[in-house]
Amino acid sequence: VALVRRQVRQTRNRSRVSQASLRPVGIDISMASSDLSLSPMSSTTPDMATMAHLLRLPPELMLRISAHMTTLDLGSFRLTCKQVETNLFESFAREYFSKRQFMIEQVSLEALVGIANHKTLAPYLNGKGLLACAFTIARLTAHRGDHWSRHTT
Amino acid sequence: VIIGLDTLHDVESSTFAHRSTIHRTNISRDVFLATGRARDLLVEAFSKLPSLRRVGLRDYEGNGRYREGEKAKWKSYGWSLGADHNLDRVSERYAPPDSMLPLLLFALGEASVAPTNLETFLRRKGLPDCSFDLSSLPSDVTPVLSGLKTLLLSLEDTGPYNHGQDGSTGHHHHLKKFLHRTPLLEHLRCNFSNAAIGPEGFLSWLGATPGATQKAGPAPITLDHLTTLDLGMLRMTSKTLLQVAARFPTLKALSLWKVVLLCTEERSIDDEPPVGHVWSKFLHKLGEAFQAPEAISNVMIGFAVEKSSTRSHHINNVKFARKVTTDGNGEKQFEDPEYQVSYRKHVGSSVQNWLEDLGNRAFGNRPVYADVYNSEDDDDEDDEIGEDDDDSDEDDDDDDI
Repeated sequence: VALVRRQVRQTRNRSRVSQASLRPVGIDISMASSDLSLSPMSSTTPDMATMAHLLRLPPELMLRISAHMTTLDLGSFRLTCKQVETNLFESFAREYFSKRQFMIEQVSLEALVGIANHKTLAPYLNGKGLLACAFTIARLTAHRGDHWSRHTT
Repeated sequence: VIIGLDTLHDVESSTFAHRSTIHRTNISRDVFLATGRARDLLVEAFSKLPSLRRVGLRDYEGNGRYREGEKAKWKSYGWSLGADHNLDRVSERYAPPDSMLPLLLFALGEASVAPTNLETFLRRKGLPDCSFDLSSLPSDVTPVLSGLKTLLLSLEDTGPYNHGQDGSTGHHHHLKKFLHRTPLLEHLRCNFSNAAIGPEGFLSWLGATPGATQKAGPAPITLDHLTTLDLGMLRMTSKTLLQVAARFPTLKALSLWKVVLLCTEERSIDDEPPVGHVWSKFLHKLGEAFQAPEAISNVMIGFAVEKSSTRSHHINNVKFARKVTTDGNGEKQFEDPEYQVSYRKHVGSSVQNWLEDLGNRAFGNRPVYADVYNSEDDDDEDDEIGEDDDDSDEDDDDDDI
């Protein structure tokens, strides 16, 4: 978990430098980058075929790992690649959108309208994601544009 | 969708930059409400969420944000606007809930959305009776109310001065009319805000049989589908509470949280009954009071309190001993007390036997110069019958899936 968390932070740092790293969401990082490998890094070139890649983990294990992340780290982890995002989306949407709190203020109710207009997230607010008791991602307010625009594409 | 009552503009922040950002990017809450912009945005959002199941009001931060640590809380969206978390000390302010319920109902009606659950969790100030006055709202609010199956209310007790002359009008008048418009209700929760003032008039009305001689005011209700009734933070006589329990033939679950039962029995000063006797008698009668005791699947009693004597102003906490023995003098000894007890139906169980046994285990210490709010076991989280935790939410919802 610590390794994944560190690598996610590295990914986040890179994304700050270049937004380009966010765009190729379809890239298979298990092949393109050894950053997200769970095997110990060694000076010799690892055998890519036998290495235990994060993306080869069953989705439920990836979920278990992500459960240990803070909201900010989770946001970055979801930005790493499409497969990670796909694996985590259901649980993310349930946790953050199935029950959500808004205040009677412009910024908050405009966000409510934004989510209601969002094709992928609106169903969770609408009653699809019924499980988790979760309201808001305070620390992610700065990232909210990212989350919404990503899912409309 | 939960509407938080926290406000952005009244926020107390340690930095000018934070306050400045809020004022620069948001119109004031008053203007936002007065211009109708808030209502328009709610209508717009709700109209895009036609299957919305649960709406509510809340005036505190929720627990359970485990990712950020055990003490991290869930807050309303946008609370951190402009704040630098490393520098700013932010403390929230909360607006009164009075006009929020009508606003919510209006927006749902306008958007033609009828959620099944309306849940209010208010710890700072409960809903006053005027919040339930629907006379000025358009008729499209009717389908919203008539579709409600779960209604969880945090109510402000309006106090003794609001009693009508005959004791039946004035007090919770609009709430009574409101409940007449929710015929499909399966789960009703009434958390009152102040156990010092008894909502006896409202409870008497709730327990009254339709067709009985009626004083002025709304007629008694028939809730033909009510299976779950939760009452919290209120003070009343056993007789009234028994009437309420006996009123609904479909009842399956009853919760009583921080209920103060009042002694109505006149006794001489030499004949003071032991603490716990009011609850004990009530519990012995409750099993018989249920119309269908075999259907009762859950009973929960937490932090019971009683006024053990008609002469005394003191109220006493009532505990339930896990073990009762008799000493050499024939005196009962109560050991290993618990403050919260619950019954869950299983094969071979009988709620009547459980209540009978519980009545025998009720006891308390005298005198206790404390009231329900000063209980040593009390904390903020216990002030009301709270929100279901995640697990029970999950259980509930699994049934629906």
